[in-house]
Amino acid sequence: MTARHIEEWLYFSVYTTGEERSLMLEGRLKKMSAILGLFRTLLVIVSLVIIALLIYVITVEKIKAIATLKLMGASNWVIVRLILEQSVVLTLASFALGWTMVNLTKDHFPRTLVLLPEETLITFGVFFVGGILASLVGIVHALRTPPSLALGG
Amino acid sequence: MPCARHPRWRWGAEVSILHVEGLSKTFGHGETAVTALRDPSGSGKSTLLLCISLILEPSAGRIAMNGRTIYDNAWTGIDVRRYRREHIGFIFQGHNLIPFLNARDNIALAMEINGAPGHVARSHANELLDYLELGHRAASLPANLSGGEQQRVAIGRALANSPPLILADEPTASLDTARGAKVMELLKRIARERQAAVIAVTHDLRMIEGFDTIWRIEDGRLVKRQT
Repeated sequence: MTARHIEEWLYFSVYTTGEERSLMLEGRLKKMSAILGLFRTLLVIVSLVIIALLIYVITVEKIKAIATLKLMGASNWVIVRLILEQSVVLTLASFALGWTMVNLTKDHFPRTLVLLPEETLITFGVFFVGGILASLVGIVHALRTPPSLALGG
Repeated sequence: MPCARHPRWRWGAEVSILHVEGLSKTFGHGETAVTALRDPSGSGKSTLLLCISLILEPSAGRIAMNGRTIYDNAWTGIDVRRYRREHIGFIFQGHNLIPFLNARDNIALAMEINGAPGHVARSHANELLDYLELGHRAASLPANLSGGEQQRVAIGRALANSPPLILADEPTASLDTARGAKVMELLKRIARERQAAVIAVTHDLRMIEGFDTIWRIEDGRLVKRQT
């Protein structure tokens, strides 16, 4: 009754609490959530590309040491394990740094950011798997390195 | 020890860059041999080392170690990489030490990739450093060692798994004459005391005095010069 009166007299739309909640979630908040999701996806891709490049550069820097290990008879698994280890350490360190920074700064944002533990866990999983995949470029380069590179000056 | 007979090495499809003809040589325990090169580069010494070290497949011939045939016109199904880490020690022109590992860990690494537990590897590495009179430098990083010390650590790494064969690729190239002579003396001592066959490649003729056998690579052929 009151709602119809307001609609007819003041030309406003009237919603119930439930309708308003669903309107916000389906409309404006959904859009913001999608934009945040897009940013998060882009940042994850950029971060993984940076990690891949770093692993590749670190591997190239150590290519003579890798050739030496291969010449000494180290198995491919030893080489792969060394690169995976540095990739995992790099991924864990960058995630820990990012997580700490987010938790230190989130209260200073104009809008409240709710960080659910399961979302953090999923992000960690994506980064962890992505970090390992990012090291593939370095691993392929290392495995293709001929042991003969260790000889000569 | 290693015995090579009539092997030929090819680069690419058809071009033979080194043809070792009529060579049938057996190296015994404690024997030292030097391949002295007429030309410092391009003469095929790296190819020769790569074949002896079971990295490059010869196009023909036979290679045997400890009475076991490794190559007889084809690999004989042996795990070449495992055989290499168990039976061959390498000394490089540049010491090729891992820069972020100290002297002890550089030596221990060679044993660890051969399956030795960490504490055993480090303990044996300490013994080797003492043998090489470098015990006091065990915790030093390669950057903090002199050229001669670095090369002695590299020799320790080559000895880590007590291989019967040690290959040295111009081990004195980055050293001055005095230090180079000491390294070559050490190689001869190792061959004698540890019963290993040492094959060294050098183009510095001043360094080969006292070696049992001297070879030259001339026009792609390995020629025995003197005994």
